[in-house]
Amino acid sequence: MELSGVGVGFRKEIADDLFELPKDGRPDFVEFAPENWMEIGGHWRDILEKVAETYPITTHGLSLSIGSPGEIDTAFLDQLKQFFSEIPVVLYSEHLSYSKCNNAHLFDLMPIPFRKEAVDHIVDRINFVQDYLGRQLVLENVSYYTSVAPEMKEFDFINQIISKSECGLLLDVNNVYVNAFNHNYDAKEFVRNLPLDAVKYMHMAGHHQINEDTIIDTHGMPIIDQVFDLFDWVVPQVQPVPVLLERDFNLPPIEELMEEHGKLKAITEKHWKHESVKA
Amino acid sequence: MPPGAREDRMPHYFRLITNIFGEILEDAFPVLQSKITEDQWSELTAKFQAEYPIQEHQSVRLPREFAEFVQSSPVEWLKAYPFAHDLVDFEWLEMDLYFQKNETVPEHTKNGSATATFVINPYVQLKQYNYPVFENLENLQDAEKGQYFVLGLRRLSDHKVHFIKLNPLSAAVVEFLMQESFPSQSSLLKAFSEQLQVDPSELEKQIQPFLDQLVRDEFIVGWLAN
Repeated sequence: MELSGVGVGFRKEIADDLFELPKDGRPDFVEFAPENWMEIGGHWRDILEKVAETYPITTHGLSLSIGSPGEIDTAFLDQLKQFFSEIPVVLYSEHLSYSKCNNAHLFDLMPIPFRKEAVDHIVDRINFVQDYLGRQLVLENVSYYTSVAPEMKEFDFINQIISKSECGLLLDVNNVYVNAFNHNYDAKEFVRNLPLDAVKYMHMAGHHQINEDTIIDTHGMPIIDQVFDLFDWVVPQVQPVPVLLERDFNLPPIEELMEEHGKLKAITEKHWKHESVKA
Repeated sequence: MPPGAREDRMPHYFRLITNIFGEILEDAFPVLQSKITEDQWSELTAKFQAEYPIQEHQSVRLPREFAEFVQSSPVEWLKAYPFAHDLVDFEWLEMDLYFQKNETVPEHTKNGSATATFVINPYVQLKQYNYPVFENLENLQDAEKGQYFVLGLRRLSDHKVHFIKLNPLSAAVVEFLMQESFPSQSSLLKAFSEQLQVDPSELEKQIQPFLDQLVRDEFIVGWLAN
């Protein structure tokens, strides 16, 4: 299925608003975490089925933990497969990080060491997951507040993983900005070194600067101008892909959210108009 | 400290994880949180975060593991709250029923004879507690230890979770209906009249209002269609 345009995160707080938007004023698709909807019944199952009738859907998972040292949770993969058989999901993305360690879920995204053995380990896991699910995995460049025992640069780490596994890249432009700020490197130089031909999906989000040298990737604030500018610079270098406005917390009124959506759409249409888009 | 990591940045990860756990547990256990002190709540949730190997990957189901953790008596001071084990079980029960995965409900009719098989709501749990944690929450601290029964169910009509207080006899009736392969009014009356050594027609007069209530409350959703 082809997926195009600019979407927004489907959050329970704005469910009614998203259903009530006029057809010509809607986001082009919605995204949610499958963990928040799989094996959930009752009222929210009704809502999920209504979402599936109303919008194309992408999913952005939280607990695959592709970077964990332990075994892949095949029971979880079975749940995902079942979910994907019930709900038409165009794209399944996840994070290039880990959220489970020492047999415990942490419910947050931890930084993988940028090391060769990590690359080899993760590539094996990606291939396993892609074969098991029968679909390409699309992995996001995550924000991180400290690197751990790095022996290569982050973009080299990403390049090696993408090239060896043939997974897709979810390019989160806000994360590029956040990491460049937090780790004092040039954001555009970072992007130039990424495998841009592997980009299948993009995210844009807001963040919160908490002190003079640290930004936290909160997804709870409007996107700042500098991140819009970076996005405007990145977009023409990438094939047309779906773009998501990722707002998870502190949700504004729907009109304000759709205004931000409109700004992203204007940028993508400026650079990608008349081009077909495939997820 | 992991090698090469920035010490000044590590607290951000701790804070982010703690905030996530905090929000999930505060949403799920507001009554327990209100019954213990702020310091005790902080200690309990911090201990859970630090010591319990969480297996659940869905945040809506994480509270089940916290309930199990509390029921393992991880801190001595919980003994001062003897109702705590029952309370966390009850607070989780509401979430468990609300989010329970949809099941296939057999085709059924709205009326049936005495021998027709009841179709029982699949989203039900019968609980026996030592303390009345489903009512009179203000005075829970003074409640007497005893046998308290409650039926939790998620209605098919509006997906809302309801609780029905039961006495020992009505709890036994509910348990029979839940466990019997083909429960009907006649099989219920037969079993209980034998057990209680009472006349079936007399028992029917006593039980009928309760069965009617179970239909209104959607515990009995109908009668099996032929």
